[in-house]
Amino acid sequence: MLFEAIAQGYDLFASPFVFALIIVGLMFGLIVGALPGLGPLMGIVLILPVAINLQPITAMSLLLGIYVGGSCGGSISAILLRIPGTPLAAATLFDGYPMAQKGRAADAVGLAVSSSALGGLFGGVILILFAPVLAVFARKFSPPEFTLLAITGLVAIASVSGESFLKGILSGAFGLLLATIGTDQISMGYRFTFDSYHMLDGFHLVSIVVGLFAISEMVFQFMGKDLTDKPDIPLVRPQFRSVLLALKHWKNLLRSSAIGTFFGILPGAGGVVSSFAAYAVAKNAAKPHERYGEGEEGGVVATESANNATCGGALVPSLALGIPGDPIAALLIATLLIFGFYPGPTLFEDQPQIVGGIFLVYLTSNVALLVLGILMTPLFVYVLRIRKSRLIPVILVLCVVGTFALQSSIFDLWAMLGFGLVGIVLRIANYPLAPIVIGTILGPLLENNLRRSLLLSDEGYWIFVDRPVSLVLIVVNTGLILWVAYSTWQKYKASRKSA
Amino acid sequence: MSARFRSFVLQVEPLTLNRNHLEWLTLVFFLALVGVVFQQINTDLVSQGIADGDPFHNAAFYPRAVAILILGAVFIRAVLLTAEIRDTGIKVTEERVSAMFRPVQLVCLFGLYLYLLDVLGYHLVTTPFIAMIMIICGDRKPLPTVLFSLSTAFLIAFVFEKYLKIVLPGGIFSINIPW
Amino acid sequence: MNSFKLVTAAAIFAAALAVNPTVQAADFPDRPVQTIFPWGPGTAMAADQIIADAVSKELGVAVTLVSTPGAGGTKAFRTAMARKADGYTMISGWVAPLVSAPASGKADWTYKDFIPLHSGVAAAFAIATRVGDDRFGSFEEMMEYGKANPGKLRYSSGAAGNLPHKVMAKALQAYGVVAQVVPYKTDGEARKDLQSGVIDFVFVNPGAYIADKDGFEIGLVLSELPAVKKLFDGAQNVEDVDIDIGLTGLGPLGWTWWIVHKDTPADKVAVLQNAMKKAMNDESVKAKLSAIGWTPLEWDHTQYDEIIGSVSTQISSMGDGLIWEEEQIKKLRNK
Repeated sequence: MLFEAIAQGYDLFASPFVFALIIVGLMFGLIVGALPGLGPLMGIVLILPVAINLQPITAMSLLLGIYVGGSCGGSISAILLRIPGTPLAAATLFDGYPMAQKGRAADAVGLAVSSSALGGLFGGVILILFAPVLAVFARKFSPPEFTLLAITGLVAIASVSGESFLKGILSGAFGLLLATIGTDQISMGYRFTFDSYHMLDGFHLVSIVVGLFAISEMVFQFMGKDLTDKPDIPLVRPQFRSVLLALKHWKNLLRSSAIGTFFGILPGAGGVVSSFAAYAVAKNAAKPHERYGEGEEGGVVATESANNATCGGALVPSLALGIPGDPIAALLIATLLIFGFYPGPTLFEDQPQIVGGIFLVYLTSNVALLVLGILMTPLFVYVLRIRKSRLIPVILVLCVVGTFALQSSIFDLWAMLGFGLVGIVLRIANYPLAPIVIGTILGPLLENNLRRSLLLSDEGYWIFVDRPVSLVLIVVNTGLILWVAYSTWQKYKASRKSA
Repeated sequence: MSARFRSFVLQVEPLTLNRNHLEWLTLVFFLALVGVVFQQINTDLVSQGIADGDPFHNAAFYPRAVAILILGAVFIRAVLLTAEIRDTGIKVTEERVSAMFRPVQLVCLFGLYLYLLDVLGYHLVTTPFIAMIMIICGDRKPLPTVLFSLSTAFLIAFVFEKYLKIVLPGGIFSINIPW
Repeated sequence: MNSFKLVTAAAIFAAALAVNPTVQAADFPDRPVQTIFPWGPGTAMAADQIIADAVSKELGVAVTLVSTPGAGGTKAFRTAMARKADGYTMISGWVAPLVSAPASGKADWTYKDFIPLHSGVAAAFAIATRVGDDRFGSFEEMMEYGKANPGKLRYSSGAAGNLPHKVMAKALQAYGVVAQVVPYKTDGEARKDLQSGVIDFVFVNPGAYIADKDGFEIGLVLSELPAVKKLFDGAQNVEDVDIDIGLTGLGPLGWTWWIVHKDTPADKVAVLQNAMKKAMNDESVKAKLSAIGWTPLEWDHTQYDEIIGSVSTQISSMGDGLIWEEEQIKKLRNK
């Protein structure tokens, strides 16, 4: 039935205009992704007024192009500038930036682009083959399962937080607390808002990420010497061998894409969680000679393939059930609604050509990302040749404009500066910043689903044991915690011995 | 008296900061967070009636649990830090406080920029902001500095206002360019 | 400090470029007009985006939606009211922050604190159960079970305390059923958990119903209007089962009425009102809105006080089902 849909959708899809808009969308997506502040979500919001005046599949080609390009673009600034352009790329920093520092900037960007495209394709194939089946699978996940999954995420993340486990926990818990600011989703009461209407929805995730990473990084750069020198970095040529470089990590690629798709299918988790989870798994599965966190190719492969595979995954519940996998998917559903199409079982039956057309557009976007991204890599790497005295002010202004664009709020900018200061102090004191981001995202997932579970349950916490999937997750979590505790203890003993 | 005072000044003048100071500072920061959480739970949340009760009403349970987790981690960290300092002595590189002058300058300038953004609007303050940073960074040629800052500020504004339909802060004079 | 002089000169030059001395209503609007929208992405955004697009074509400038969710929509209102009343900020005044929040003391404004532009869209809702839930033969049987087993049924309206929650609680009170509400951030998640089998009934709007007609069994349509009944394929409504929810007409419906800050100059308001009227009377716009399950509304600004006034009275005097529900649940928990 799905192949029939694709055959029917081919007529809608096969036009030069559709293809041209995919390219436009991708370029725009790569740029909004790379700029601090704006990301794929905001990119789509900004282009929506244009898109709804196009034909449905043409519009979707533009928007999916932004989705795919934007999910990859953040890695470029993460690798080159140590600034994740979007929260999605926060884990790409770990190895992407060290790679660039070792003079492998072009390789790192090429690898990120290739892994994104390949991961996205993986997600797309899964989408085409199994969308309806997986949508049913996603229904097995209810509040108790999401609660435990959030705990799995937090434990996994704690296990990758570098040399200091304790500091990782503190950063992560700081993120969890940040996420409680604003209107409580269950009681609708206000928490930690200090009677300011600006705080009613908490801090915007983007102000947090841009502040922590971009502002602090600019201040550190500013402390450096020779800010007016033109960095002497050779120009690079587009290299298609980075595809081979990515394929060399095929196991990692497949595993991370599968993780990405999995988190995409579950509504609420999203690309940030999947990229961190894929990184955690890759790091723990690493061979002894691979040094994750110091510029290991596998780190970039894992995070970038996972977060783009999430796009494909997120389209599964969106198209098959009409339930958005993430906020971007919610926006895509809204767009389809504007055109008069109802994503959900009805869409598959009544307008299979639309479903087929979307599948084709999504797959093509990923293939085009591969080519376009690699062709544009030299252009991106050129950023490194700009002298710091110009780069610093321009990036600061872009942070301001990009963050302001989200909800036209000056308050968000002050929050960004505040988190910049926090980021500076935490970085000097050697605290990892990434757990703050992941804590902020997993926090609401954990708290709200925990409380929902208890409201659903007639016998309190037993609901977690009564349900088979949740029982399995309890076992997994217990094992993970024991393993993390054991390996931390081992590391601590080893460090005491050497000291 | 005055001699004692002088010796005090002499001791303080080469004020240095090291990583351990910042380690303690962050722990104080986390403790302050915990304090705020408990203070808010016992005042604001109680008055809203969401500080206890069933899972529907108890919006305090979870932040309190996270705060306690932080408290525990801070305690362990403090113990370990004390042990580390005792074992290794302070070997970390010390930085003179005056070295902090540059970053503080940038942060203050950025804060001023945000403040003026609200008052005067994007178009009036962005060019001087970019130019100021360039000058502090050491760009001494006036013409390129002005040309670069002016063109960048307006190029960014052009793209965001014209194509993305973002309304940049206009300030009290409502200065927005109808491109 | 030659460079500083140059910078100053440049700033003055820039200012000269930027300031347009002849800004009057004749030129209004000459830049994008922002519409503060109180929710995140979803079906309501789809409706408002269609309207914004149509208004934009009338005004000749972009009309953008600024999504400012939080605190049941009141964050958006506070944000909009803190802005300059220069006609460049419109508000999509959804019933929750416009009427419902003030009625329950969560906001310190009333609908009279705004200048109306034009009515937007409305959607009714219905209580739906899952197809294939064979525990009960009918919705009435489920209600009987709920009455006999207080606190056993679980339901969701999406966010707690929203309008659907108020109306559903009112209906449940009429049935004498005490059920536990389970809040979700979005109604989509609630519908998913209905299908997962952990929730017993949810609210659906026509849009969600059309998307998955085979997935929902409509139990009760929460409106007495025949047109609404038709949208839900003739399922039983409150009149059929003689349930009084204390709300009629627009009362139990979700709707939006576009408004501006009350200090907005009259000439600019007139420009916006005209544009909106033309947009909302455009047949193609109406068709688009109807196609996604929203009912386009045709009232213009002159009817604002009358229409919203009656809804407002209804909502504030309906006798709060929520309070009843909360008391009953508390009693159960304390047993």
